[in-house]
Amino acid sequence: MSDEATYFENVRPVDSVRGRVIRTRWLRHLIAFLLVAGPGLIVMEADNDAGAVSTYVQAGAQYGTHLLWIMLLLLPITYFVQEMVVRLGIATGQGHAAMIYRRFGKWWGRFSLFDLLLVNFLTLVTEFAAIALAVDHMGVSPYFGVPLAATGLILLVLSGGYLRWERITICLCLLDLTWLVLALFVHPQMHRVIHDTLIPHVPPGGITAELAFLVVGIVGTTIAPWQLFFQQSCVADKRLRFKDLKWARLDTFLGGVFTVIVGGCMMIAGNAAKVHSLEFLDPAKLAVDIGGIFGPFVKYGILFLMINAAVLGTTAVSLASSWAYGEVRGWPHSLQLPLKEAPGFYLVYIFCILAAAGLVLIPNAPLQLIILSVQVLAGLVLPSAIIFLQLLLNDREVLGEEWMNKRWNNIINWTIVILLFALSLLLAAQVMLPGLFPTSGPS
Amino acid sequence: MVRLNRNNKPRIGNMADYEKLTALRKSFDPDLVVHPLDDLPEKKRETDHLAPMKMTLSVRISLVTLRAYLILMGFMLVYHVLDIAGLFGHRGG
Repeated sequence: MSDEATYFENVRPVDSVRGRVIRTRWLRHLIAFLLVAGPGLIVMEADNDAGAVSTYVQAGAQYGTHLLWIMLLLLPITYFVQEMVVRLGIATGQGHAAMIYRRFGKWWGRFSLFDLLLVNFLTLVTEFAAIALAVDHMGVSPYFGVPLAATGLILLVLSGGYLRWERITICLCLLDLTWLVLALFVHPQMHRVIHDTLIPHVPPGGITAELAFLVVGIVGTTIAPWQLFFQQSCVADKRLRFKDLKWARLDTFLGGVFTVIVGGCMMIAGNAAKVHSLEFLDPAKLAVDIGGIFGPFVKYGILFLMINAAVLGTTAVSLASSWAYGEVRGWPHSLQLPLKEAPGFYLVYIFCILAAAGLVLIPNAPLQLIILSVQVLAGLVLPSAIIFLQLLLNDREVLGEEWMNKRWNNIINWTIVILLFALSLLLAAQVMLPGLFPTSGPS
Repeated sequence: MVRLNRNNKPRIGNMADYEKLTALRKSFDPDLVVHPLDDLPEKKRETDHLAPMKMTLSVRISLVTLRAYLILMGFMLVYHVLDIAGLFGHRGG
């Protein structure tokens, strides 16, 4: 007897699904949202990874709270981009890499996959570099801390299906609320914070190459290529239904709000270094420096949250790679499947983690070169990834009239694409031709 | 519990199966809340039969421009990385 026949013979209207009847409207909606929520929060908060911590804290250390308004501006941009991915994932039930392969052919499919895997791997190296840095400042050897983190990350996906992975990852995301406590601990001027968040302005010193670079870095770290692939695959793996779209959108929006607030708190923590005239070298050093003023809670809080950010980023980025590779190769690729039924999917995940962790532990590895390459590559890949997304969202054959982009979607999204293209060009030009722009502000 | 096939899709055979499932779903209490992973499979947009999309002129121009941009930037990046690594000799140790 076939599986299908078995399935239908066993189906009974009463016991064929596990669920709960809830008569109270608001409670029913709340439970429905909580069941659907996860991919949006995770993709947004995992983007506050080690690179983001470094960028936001540096922005605070160099420009105080003057760049907070950029975070607010990025909220609608990230939401609009990720909402398209959610729609595509729910409508097709397939991942992003699979859709690119199917609709744009092998050449573009391989090109996109290669870009994604390369940028993702380099990003993973930066995540583990941050873990090594943080544990070192906590008095723990990186040769112990990095393998421990890698082992934990592997066990996270091997230990029991999508739901367990999602619940643990959401808990890690919520740990980032500690950034709010840290931000309050360093006593920011609240009226200044509110002003700088709501009123766009150029920081004192004017527009310089350093400022432009940092702004591009903030944009680049807030919207990353892996996010597109990750959320669509995650939505497909969770098998979200058409009726879940409104909750998935809300999940994505609230995830964006959460991420922006946490990112803003990182800037405020960095601002403490500026207020106390401390030099910024890296976030771990900054944690030690401002910890000397505000106490061990701030020091260990920042170091611990650096590790948390890197762990979150690592699991999401590695999964984006293994989902995408599995989709393109036609391998089984689901966290719902055990290791023996999806060996390729899990091996890609494990390989990414072990290789990146191993590279970080090699003495004198060119980590700075890798970090530089990540910034540029991510900047290069992002606009092209969004163009594919935009084309797919206008694909009537794939989505039909009901789910494809409306005219207003396209106006907003093409504006975002043009903006990101301009910023990626600026980033690439600044990194590759550092003498192109003046390096100091008007005197 | 719905089982998955090797491509992470529910083990449902054809359109008639989906019609049965749709009818089944309609028989449920409208106030029933079910986790997506525990729910009956639903019919998604059919994409398996689709070939690569037919490119309009604007799409073709966009992608060719994108290809040129990525290749150019890729070469610039490789040059820059090799330069930093000291391969061209003018960056002393």
